[in-house]
Amino acid sequence: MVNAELGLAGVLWLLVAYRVWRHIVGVRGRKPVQVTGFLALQAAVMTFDSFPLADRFDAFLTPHASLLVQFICAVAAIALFVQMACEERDLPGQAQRHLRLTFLTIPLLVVGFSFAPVHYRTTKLFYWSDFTQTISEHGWSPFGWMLFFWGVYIGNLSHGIWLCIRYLQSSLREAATRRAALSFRLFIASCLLILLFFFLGAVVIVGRGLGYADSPAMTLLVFAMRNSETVGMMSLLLGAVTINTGISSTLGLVPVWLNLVRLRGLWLDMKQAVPTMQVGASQRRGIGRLFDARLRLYRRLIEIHDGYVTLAPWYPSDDAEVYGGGRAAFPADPVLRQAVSWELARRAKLRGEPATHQSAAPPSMDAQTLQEDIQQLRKAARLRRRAHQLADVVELHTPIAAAVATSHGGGLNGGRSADVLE
Amino acid sequence: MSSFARRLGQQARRTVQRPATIWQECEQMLADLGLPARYDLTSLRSRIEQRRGRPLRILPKPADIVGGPCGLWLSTDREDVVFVEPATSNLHYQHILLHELGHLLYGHGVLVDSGNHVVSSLLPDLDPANVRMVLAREQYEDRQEQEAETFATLLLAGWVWGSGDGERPDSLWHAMANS
Repeated sequence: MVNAELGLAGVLWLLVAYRVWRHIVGVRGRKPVQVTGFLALQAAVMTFDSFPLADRFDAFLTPHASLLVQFICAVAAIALFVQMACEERDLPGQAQRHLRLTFLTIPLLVVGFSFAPVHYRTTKLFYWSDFTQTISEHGWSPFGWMLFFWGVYIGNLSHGIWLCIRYLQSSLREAATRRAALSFRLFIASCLLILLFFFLGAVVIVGRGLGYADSPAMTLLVFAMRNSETVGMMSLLLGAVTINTGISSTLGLVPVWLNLVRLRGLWLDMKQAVPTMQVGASQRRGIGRLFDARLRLYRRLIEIHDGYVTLAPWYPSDDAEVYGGGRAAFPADPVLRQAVSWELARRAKLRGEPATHQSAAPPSMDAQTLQEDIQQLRKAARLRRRAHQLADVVELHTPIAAAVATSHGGGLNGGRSADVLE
Repeated sequence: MSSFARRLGQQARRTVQRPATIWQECEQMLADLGLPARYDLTSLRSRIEQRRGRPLRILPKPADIVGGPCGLWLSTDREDVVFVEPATSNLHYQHILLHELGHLLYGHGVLVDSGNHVVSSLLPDLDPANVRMVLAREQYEDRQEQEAETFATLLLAGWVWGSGDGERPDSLWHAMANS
């Protein structure tokens, strides 16, 4: 059970990491996504409990492999972000310097970990301090070495985070919206708190290494260190949520989906009455699904309009003919009367009746913009059920043949087809 | 059985692959067209006229042709004429127009017989013998129509949704199309 859970957690983490990586690599130049991606990745690797799966392989890899992987990932994630940030800000010197530092840090970390005894550690949080404390019991020399390795690691991260803060500060000055500015501030606060965490961690490590692990000052420092990390991560999360373009995009899609649903009935009616063909979503590969919802709505509008144009020759010429001199229920609402007439035209075409030569305008004839078009078609769609009921009544009381004029065979080959997106 | 399965697989691959190809080809054609970042019907029209080396006229579909087709492209020996259904919404009008322009850009066409009564009903002042090709936005089964429809969808859907609020200054389109 534990293994299954760990496996599942590992797969999920890899999926998240892959998506973050795709965001970072695929949308180069888009600052918010870069920042979010970097910080999400950093949050994943900086949290000292994020690699439970790697622990399972400790027996097969180097001792404490999970921590080594975490540290390398943290260094690599920050190096990646620094490279992109420096590229965007045209700072090749800074990027080169940090890259050299990273290439030095990673092998040194591997060397440092290879020194580690297997059974020394108490908790992951105090890895370095427990490590150094344990080694210091056997003499000062290894303690010094471990401080050196630790210094390289923290130095690398601090250098990278400092560059990140500079990048975020310049981004803050150019932030287009207040929301973006707020999220950049939160990111900066997060980076500063992480630097504070490193500093306090350094004091704790040295203090514990020197044998002050149980002093009240050390307890206070550990408390401050833990809280700086917690608040830093929360700030990171808040910043990511604030700036997350995916949230706005998803919220922006809600009205699109609602319109898709509301127009579905009307669209299906039209689709039933006119020939169809495949143009649409299946043709779109490698383009975001976000656009697909809008594309589907667009196609739905066009297909409904295609239906109206096709059905125009069957549109009843006169209300009096439709309602048979008051025998059927005559709706007072002109929009509803129009909807009933379109429904009768649709049924006439489906029955294969001859077309008239009427010229009828669709409900959204005067719509000048997309939004107006959607609004007016939604009105027609809202009346659809009522129009169906009234059309049933009309057909019951009035011979439908009388509701349409005599055959004319208007148009070129009758109806034109509607495209179906699905 | 294996032969049947193979045929089924080939058919499935064709079904899946063909539309993707149309879409990708359309995107490629738009890229090749080299339109400026901000363009309207004027620039698109001039680009088409330049490419085809002949003027382009856009006219409303004659009132006596009700129902389908929504749009029609007619090519004479001197010019291209596009007819668009006027009794519809602005969005649909633009879509039909772009569909027909898609035919022009793709170089589609169906040869017609001289003396075709459809042609004479569309342009009474034109000698039907001068008409070289005619194509109506009506039958969607063939590839030409699919390509033109994809072109119109790709271009106009990108416009209306790409502007952020789903709007664009459409009056220019109608003014140009009716000129």
